Amino acid sequence: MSARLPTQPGEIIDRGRPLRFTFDGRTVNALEGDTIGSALYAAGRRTFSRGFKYHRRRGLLCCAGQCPNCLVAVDGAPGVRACTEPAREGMRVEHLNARPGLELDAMELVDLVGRPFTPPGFYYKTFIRPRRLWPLYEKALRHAAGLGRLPEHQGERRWRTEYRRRHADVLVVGAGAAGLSAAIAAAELGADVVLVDEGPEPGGRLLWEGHAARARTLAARARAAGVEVLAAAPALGHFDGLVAVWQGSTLHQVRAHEHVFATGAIEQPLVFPGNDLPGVMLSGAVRRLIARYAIAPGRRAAVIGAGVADVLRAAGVEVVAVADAVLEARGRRHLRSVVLPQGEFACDLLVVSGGEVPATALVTQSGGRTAYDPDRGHFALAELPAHVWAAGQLAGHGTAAECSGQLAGLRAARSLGRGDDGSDTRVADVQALLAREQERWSPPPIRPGTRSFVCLCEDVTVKDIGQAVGEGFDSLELCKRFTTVTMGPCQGRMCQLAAARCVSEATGAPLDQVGSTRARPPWSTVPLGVLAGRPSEPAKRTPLHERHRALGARIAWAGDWRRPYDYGDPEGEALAVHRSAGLIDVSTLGKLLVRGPQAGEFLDRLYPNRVSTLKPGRLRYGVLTSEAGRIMDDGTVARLDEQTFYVTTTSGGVAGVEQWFSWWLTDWQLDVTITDVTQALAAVDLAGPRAREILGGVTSLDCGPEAFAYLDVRQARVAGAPCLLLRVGFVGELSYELHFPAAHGEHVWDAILAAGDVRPFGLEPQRLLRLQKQHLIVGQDTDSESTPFAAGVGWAVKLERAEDFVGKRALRHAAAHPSETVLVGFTVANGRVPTEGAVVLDERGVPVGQVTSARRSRQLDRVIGMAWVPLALAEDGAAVTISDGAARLHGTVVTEPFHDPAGVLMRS
Amino acid sequence: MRTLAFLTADRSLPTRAPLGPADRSDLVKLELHGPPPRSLTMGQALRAEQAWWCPVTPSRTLVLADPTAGPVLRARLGEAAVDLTCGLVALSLSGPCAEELLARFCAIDTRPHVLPVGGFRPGSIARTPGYVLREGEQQLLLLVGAAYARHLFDVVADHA
Repeated sequence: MSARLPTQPGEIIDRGRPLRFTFDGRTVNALEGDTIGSALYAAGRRTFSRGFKYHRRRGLLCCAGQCPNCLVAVDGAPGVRACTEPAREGMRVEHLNARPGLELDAMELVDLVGRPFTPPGFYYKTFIRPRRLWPLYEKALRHAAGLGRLPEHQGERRWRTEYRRRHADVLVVGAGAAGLSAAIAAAELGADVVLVDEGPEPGGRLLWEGHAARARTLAARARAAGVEVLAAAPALGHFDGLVAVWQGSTLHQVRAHEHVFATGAIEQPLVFPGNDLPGVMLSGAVRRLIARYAIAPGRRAAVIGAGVADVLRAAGVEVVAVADAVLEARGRRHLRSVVLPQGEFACDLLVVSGGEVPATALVTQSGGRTAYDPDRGHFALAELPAHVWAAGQLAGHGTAAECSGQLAGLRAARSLGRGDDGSDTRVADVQALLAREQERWSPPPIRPGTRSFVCLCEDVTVKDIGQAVGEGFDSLELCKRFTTVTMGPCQGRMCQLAAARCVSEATGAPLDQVGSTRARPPWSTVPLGVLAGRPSEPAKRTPLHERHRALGARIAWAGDWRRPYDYGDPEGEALAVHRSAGLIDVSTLGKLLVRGPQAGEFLDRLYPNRVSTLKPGRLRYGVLTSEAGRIMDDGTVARLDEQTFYVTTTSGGVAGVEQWFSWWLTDWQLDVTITDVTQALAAVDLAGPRAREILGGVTSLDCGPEAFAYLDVRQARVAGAPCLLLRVGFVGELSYELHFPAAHGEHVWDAILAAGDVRPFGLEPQRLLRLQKQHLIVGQDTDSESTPFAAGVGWAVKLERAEDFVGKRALRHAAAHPSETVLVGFTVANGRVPTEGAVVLDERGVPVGQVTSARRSRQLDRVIGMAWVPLALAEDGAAVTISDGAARLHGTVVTEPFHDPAGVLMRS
Repeated sequence: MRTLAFLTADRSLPTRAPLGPADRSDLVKLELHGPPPRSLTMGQALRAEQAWWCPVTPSRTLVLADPTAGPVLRARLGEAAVDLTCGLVALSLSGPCAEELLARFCAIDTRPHVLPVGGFRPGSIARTPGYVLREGEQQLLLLVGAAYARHLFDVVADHA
């Protein structure tokens, strides 16, 4: 702690509150308010990391969370910037990317002797022969690459992310003088303003440039004006109007009408030999260390540019030289001396500044455009989209940040209709003030050399870029992809301009032609877990869900529903349906009410069979096809009265069918309404030879075969509940489908189960039972190219109908040109159940089809299935070969249902 | 029997138990098609006849009636109304933190000047389709499909 200076006016450390953490196992003393970086620096550490490729030592450079030099792992999470991460009691900090340790890194050999083997794109050049060794090379390269390691298996997450949606009139990104002023100006005109900043305290550079009191005054004014200030909250990106802001365990999704970007500027390093040595530091970093953490950054300093020399002297640092340029920095483990135009000077600190470039990444994501400004020597904002405003250094108003912010805030508020004519006068006044400001600046020259680093993240040197251009990668984007310059953790913050300048010098193209690379989100490093949010999978549950659980059902996903897969004995459950009765929850079926004077005509136009001829109290199977004649969905259509139809769809198909219906209704403009009542109704299917008897026990309805015949529809009370009953069956036995208010789900279920020898059955037995009947499941037995004719439901297509319907033309073509493959049933001789998806082979062993469903049936005592096979094989008794992994199975085609082929039981 | 009688629960029979004190699924929910029977502005529900008349689209209205008034209203509207009482679960968020709580799982803008009392918005709630109605200064009513009832209550309890 001896490196601490006397109390500084803007310091944020609390000297009365010490804390401790460990770095690579060693205890580090810190103070409340310290960052990991400041505490380590105060403790004498100068090497914080190793370079990505050459493993050269790296020390603090920016102290602003911009560069890659201080990346560490905190409590096992890699990629944390030590210079901005607050120190916390007991935290475990470890270095990245150095083995066996940070002080002695074996990979440093690459820097000493390995450079000839590691030119740009070396992995395409030097490690490709002999080819058989590539797996070895790859393993070694992958082992050496990367920045830290994530655990292969994640234990229980100790933290979780909240998503918080925040709507605002104005979002201000950046809480420096400009951002604060913008927020105040907009809020004082009545706008609802959110202000976000990555720093732990609003104020930006005011805090470390001797104006901390002003920063705090502005922040207090902003809060008083009602601004919601989010500190330590970096904006991650602009996504079509939504700005994601990460703050600790919360991801704010801010949607604002107006956006003010006051993201400031990023100080650039200089490019010269040895510019990556620990001890070379940006002037902003020096100011921060002194002002915020009361740390003297060195003992003897050389300064490029005079601005910070007085600050250093005031902090007791000896300034040995001040120069306009630097030729080379020398040292092995740390900076030892610098070569300046006036000679070589021994020092342990070299303070440099390559000027500041506007932080344009976020504003360009919002649609802003940049262009090279030769007067300022950097890429500056040239165009802003509507409702987006720039302030402060981003807008080129470095020395009048507050005015610039006011102007942006006023404009944003006026754009919202806040304020009055007086506000316009203020806008004009501030504009006039700002017009006087005109900064000119020329960037210092780039000094090439073997160790002149352009990109500190990816260890790309001036020479590397020249070589890449020489190899033909002569645009910035190509060069970027080849050398990976600007693609590291800093995302181009520190190297974008330098890289563009290097390409410009190498190609001779002017900078406005070279351009800049695109900045993509996330702008700040963020754990993926933050983006993932909290685990939450919306699940639909039927009204009977708790009953299934109480009965010990195995619950499984079926689309977005949670359904009982079985109740522990799927074969036994299926047998019960054949021998007595079974009850299955079919509440997941899609259910649509189609009503209106033209409802019949409407459905006639949608279904390939005629619906309008249905009599009230009757239903019909229907297969829905697309305009291309492909199967979309299937189900039943019941007519309840002259103008009311009740349409059922597959469980997963209802949303698509409703959308399909609505789309056509909009086009046809018929007098019809559609209402999705899927979730309003519970539904069960009571099936089996004793179903009639059991149903008769809970209803007064005459369920006899004449009074309530196959494909009849009735309404009656069942167990006292109002109920719609459909005589239709999917499982091949005498069946009644009961639809009733969801609120009565458990009551009706309980009553039926209590009414006789009836057993609940789940999805798996249902799939077996329907397979015995060769009833297809859309999506499992069909795909997007299946036509009704090929899938065996061509009987539901009535091409002879005079009027048009959706898909008629395509279906007529399909009828005239039979499909190459068709869906048929099959049995397997050796008793093995083929995997669904197994391949059907022709006699030459060429794949010609696939198995879509297969089960073993205890009722039939054989393995049965459905498969797409060539048309030539679609006849009873034809032999098919099925390739299932390593096995070859021999099957026989069966075109009729396996169980009750005539449908006598179903119709009984 | 009315054609759509099978949609209406019989309150004299056992029905689903409420999932908690905030469960207001017993509100009678009726869907009307065609021009709204009352003058409605999109996004703004009207309180009348002890019911909220909520415009879903210019030709579709959702009526949320108090349980006591619902049957009378349902009888008056007759077959023009589809009874969706069982199809939607209703959950009430009340108190000064209601908006902040909702913001954790819903992106609908509920700031009072955007969604005043009576404000009605469709949108995604807990990643499911639904509606938000502001019933009072500090009272929001959430409506989602009944099949998502457990999911919604779990999400709200988790975030609360």
